[in-house]
Amino acid sequence: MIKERPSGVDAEATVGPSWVADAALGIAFAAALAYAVLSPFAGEAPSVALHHLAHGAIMVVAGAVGIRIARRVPPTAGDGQDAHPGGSRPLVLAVLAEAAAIALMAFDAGSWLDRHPALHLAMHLTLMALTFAAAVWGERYRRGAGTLVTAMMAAMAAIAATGFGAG
Amino acid sequence: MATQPVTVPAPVRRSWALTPRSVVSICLSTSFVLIYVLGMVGGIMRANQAAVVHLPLDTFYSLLTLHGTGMIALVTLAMAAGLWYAVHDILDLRPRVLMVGFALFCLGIVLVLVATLVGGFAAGWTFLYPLPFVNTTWPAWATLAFLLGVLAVGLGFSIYCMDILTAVVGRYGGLLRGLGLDALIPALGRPGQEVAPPPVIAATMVGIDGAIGTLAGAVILIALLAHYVNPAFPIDALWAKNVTYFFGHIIANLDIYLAAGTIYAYLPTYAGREWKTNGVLALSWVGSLVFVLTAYGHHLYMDFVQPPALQFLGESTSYLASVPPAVVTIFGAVLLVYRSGIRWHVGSVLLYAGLVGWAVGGTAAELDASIPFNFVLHNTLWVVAHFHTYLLGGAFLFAIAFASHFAGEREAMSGWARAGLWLLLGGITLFLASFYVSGLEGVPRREAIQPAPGPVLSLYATAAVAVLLAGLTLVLLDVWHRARRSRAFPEEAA
Amino acid sequence: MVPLGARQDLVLVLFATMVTAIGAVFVWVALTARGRLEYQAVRPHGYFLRSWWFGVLLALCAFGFVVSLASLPYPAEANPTRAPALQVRVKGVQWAWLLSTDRVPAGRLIEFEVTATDVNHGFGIYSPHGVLLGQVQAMPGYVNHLFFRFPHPGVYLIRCMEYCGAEHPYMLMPLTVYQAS
Repeated sequence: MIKERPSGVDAEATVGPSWVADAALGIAFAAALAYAVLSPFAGEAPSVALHHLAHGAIMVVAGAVGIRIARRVPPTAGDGQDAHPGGSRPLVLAVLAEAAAIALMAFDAGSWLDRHPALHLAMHLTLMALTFAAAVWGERYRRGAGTLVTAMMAAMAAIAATGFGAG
Repeated sequence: MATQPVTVPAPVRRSWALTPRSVVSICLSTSFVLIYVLGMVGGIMRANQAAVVHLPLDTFYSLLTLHGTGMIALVTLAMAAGLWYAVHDILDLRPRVLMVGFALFCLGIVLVLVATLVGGFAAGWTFLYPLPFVNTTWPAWATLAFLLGVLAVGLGFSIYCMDILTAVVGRYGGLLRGLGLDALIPALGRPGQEVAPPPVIAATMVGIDGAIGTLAGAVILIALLAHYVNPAFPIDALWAKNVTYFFGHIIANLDIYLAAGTIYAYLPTYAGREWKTNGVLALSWVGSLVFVLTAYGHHLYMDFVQPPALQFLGESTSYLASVPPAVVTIFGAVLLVYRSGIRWHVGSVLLYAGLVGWAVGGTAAELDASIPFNFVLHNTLWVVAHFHTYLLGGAFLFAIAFASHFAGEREAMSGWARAGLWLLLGGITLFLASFYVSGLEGVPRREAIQPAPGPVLSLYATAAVAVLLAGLTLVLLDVWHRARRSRAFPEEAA
Repeated sequence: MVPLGARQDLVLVLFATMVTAIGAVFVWVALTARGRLEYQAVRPHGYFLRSWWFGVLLALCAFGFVVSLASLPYPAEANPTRAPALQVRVKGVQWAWLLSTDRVPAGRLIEFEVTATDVNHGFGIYSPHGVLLGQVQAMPGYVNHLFFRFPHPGVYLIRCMEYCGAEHPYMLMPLTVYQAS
């Protein structure tokens, strides 16, 4: 049986994505970054649910940027596309980045964040960086995997929004 | 270069290589050895409840915690390896990724073993907040080791799920097609691409629910770890219960859906009939995908403060969860066997017996998922009876069936295997009957010392465990023997 | 053996019926599996049967759901008239039950306000014969309201139903139910 495999660089990426989508993503990224930097210093802390959902939103934006960039970089021998021996590494890195983002939540309790806004800011940036990295690695493993890990990050935030750090 | 000596192909043992077969072999062997040991641990607990042996209370509960956590993890490991093998060719899965998942898994199991056997951790596999932290009989590090162990197992399963999902996206260009929905909605299909076969559909569903379940597990475990480091970290007991059971229910339930994938792949080889994807099958798996996520609410019926909407969602979807397997997978399997002239061997007998376990365990689960019955069955041995029925009498039998098929079944079934099967299935039936009767008699679960008539029934159960393990020994030895033969003569087993 | 309670009796009858039916189908199919028929000949009949089976199962689910709504143990359903009930405060601690009284009248609606101070416990009520009559969880930070009517006078037993640490099996307390005048 001959299997049809997706080639390393697909048609859409080689033709060049539209600049409109790039611009929209750029604006979203700027907004997410602004929220990540400014919100820790805003006076009133949001509810636990809103707090986690906001984290989910900025992570989704960071992940989308990661996917966008990863699709433009031509695949290398280390990528998973053609079943290279080292091909599993990007997936493992992506899952570990995701695990690190989940582990970061341990510091995500209301009162602590209010007392240390600078660390809260650092956490926002780390979350975004980890999602970005997970999305890039995921996408380098297999096309579509970046979207999956980003969706997982958002799902994690949604689960946390049900009451992580409240009680 | 005529002087070069001619190398004679000697029957040397090839060095161990990372191939699909070798990785699946190591997963299965690890799982079966540990399941056997933890089965004996279970027997010891039953003997303690029968007052045949007398364990200190904290030892009993450490063993209970080990047995519960370990068995769920190990059955998942065996079935995950089975389904992986069934779909690895179609999805182009890499043995290395399975090996990474397996390594994390082993790390987790070792941590759980150390936490329970050395540290004496005994908060149950549900580690229900705040039990791991209050008046503990074990040192604090044991709690840490246990939580990290479960986290590592979850991470291993998460990598497994992500690998399957990304492979499905790569092969079929989307998860909806991975669920076979183009068989239902032709507009979804891609020209020239076949609909995903049933094992791939099962793998996709397990991948999605497994990814979500392990995320929930990570969220509650991180919350507990945060609380461990900083006791001021707030956790709401009801929230913790919801998330814990959401995670636990999904993982335990997925064992049987992993198994369903191997039924689709291997039952047809015995029956000599094809099992193809159609719209009904695809739809049934979408149903299962949703119901596995929403049915966990039945664990919280007796928490009267839980919002009523969640109780009704839990009850209605627990009922509905029975429909896809009963109407499509189990019914389909019986139809496949009906008048097929099926070849009975260890694999097919256990696949068939496992279907009975799935159906009976499901029936018991539905009764317990009825709120008025749950009022008198919740946390009795009835609950333990139903999940042993579909984990021991279902998923585990499917795992041995897969292993037997994997080992090669060219020659006729041996007399030892036949005897082993009778003992195994008879032992399981007796063993489960004791749990069911105890449950109806109101004997609570997780009691080292049981009220009457628990001890008498536990005595029957202890005897049944001995019969069961004797049968299991024979069956596993038979499988092992065949696996060795087929490794020595691979062309014969092919 | 302890005599079964009414609900347990019903569970037993339903379970035995269904397991017998399942067993009969599986044994019959296994016994007749030898005679080989072409799958094309079998499948249409099977699919016809399957659509009926689907309908029956769905009807059973709906029936079960509706019937279950009629006897829910939740406060709104258990005390529909909102009539004042005799209140008993219950607190579960490792490893004992603290009740505001250990004597209650038979035949009257009792409201148990159940909570816990340390870990999760389960408040299970056993009849003098050892039949489990009902239960509710005892959770730190929450109060669960259980409305319950004791059928007969006698010494009932409160037993912990949720694993709560090493001494869990000994977390018991007798509750005397007296004949109300």
